[in-house]
Amino acid sequence: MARSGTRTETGRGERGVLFLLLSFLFFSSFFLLPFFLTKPRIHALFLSSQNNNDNDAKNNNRQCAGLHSWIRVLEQEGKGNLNYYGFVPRRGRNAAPVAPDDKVLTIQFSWDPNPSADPNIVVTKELSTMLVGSSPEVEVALYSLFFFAGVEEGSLCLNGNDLRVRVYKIRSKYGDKIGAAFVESVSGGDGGGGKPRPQQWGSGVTRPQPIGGGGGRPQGGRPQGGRPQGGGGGGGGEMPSCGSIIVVLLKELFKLLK
Amino acid sequence: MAVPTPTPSAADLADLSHAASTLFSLDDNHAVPGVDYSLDLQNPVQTFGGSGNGRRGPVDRSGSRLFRTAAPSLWHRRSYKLFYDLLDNYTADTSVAERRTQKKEAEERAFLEEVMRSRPMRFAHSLLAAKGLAPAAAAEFAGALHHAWFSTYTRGDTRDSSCGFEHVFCGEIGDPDGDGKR
Repeated sequence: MARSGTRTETGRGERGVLFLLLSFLFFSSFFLLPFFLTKPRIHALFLSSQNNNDNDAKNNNRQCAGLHSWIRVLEQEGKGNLNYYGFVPRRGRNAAPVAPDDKVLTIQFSWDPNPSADPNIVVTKELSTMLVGSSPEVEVALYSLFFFAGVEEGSLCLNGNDLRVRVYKIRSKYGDKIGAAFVESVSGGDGGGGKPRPQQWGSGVTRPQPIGGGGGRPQGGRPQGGRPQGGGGGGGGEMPSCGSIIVVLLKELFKLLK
Repeated sequence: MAVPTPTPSAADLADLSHAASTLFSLDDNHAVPGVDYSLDLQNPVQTFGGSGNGRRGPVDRSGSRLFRTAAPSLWHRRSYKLFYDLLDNYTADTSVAERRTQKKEAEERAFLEEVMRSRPMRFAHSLLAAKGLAPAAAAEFAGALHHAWFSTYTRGDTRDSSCGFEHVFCGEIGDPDGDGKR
């Protein structure tokens, strides 16, 4: 009994020292926090090299976004800025093979919109689906129809091909704007659905207010915080600042000392 | 203007997909494959489903251009010419703000005017007006169209670096924003 009792006493003592040591380390680490959060270089030093790799990838991995016009592809190819890699075959058991008179085509290419620029950036686009042979006005009319209808994901049947139409809006208090618009091939060959269901009309968009009969001139240069909607956000806006953390910690420390 | 404005049917008004297909069938100004242009498809490529570290990138499997021929007469068509004029108006880099000029604005308005005259757009307008989704007056609708397609917004971290027309038709280069929208 006595032996076990002494053992527990020494155990408690060791634990107490350990607790003090750990809490000291824990609290002192908070004073280093500002350095970790404000100085990216120091931050990177302490973290693994994965961080550096991410930064490198970010600089080199610039991406091509948009570009869904066959006329643009024709124009850029003619200028030598766009290098066609090949076409993307359709998926699905009964899918028709890709043909040169198709109205819709999915292609892969690399693009250098500004070859004379000093840090020359060439990007590749892995998948770009575009309408081919359609007039500029029909493309603008099609995307405008879905945009003003307020339908971001719709469908369209074109010469027996089922297409998905996607028109994403940028929300703005000055009136919504078009963020992205393109068509996609629906992988064919499933065939089991019978007739597709009718597509409901949406509830529209926020429209700009006409200014003095001028017909809704855009407010150029005003800060319009439009982000492509649906993007995770991931902002640091709600995180408490390092300063406030330290102030709170110091207050707690004073309370404890009192 | 000689061609009458196509009137939307009950099926168009009930079903947006039907309306979109009708709209497409009204394109009397499309280019004809084998006449106005011809494609040289060459070889299929593999897709990898996104780009990540250590992933093998796309490989060029076609030595020649996609467009084997394009008839110069295409650029004599008014809407094609006006569309072409817009293509050099933008900076593809999303870290550079767009500079708006009077000339660019005039080109945008000229293109939209031409689009407004076309059968597909008049059809779209009559549908949207009938649904109460867009202003019925042509001038007001043109203004709304201009706002939707040409007023600038933030892409990447740079204000006014993008607009709908630039993104959709001309294409842009920027940091991956990870929202999965192409």
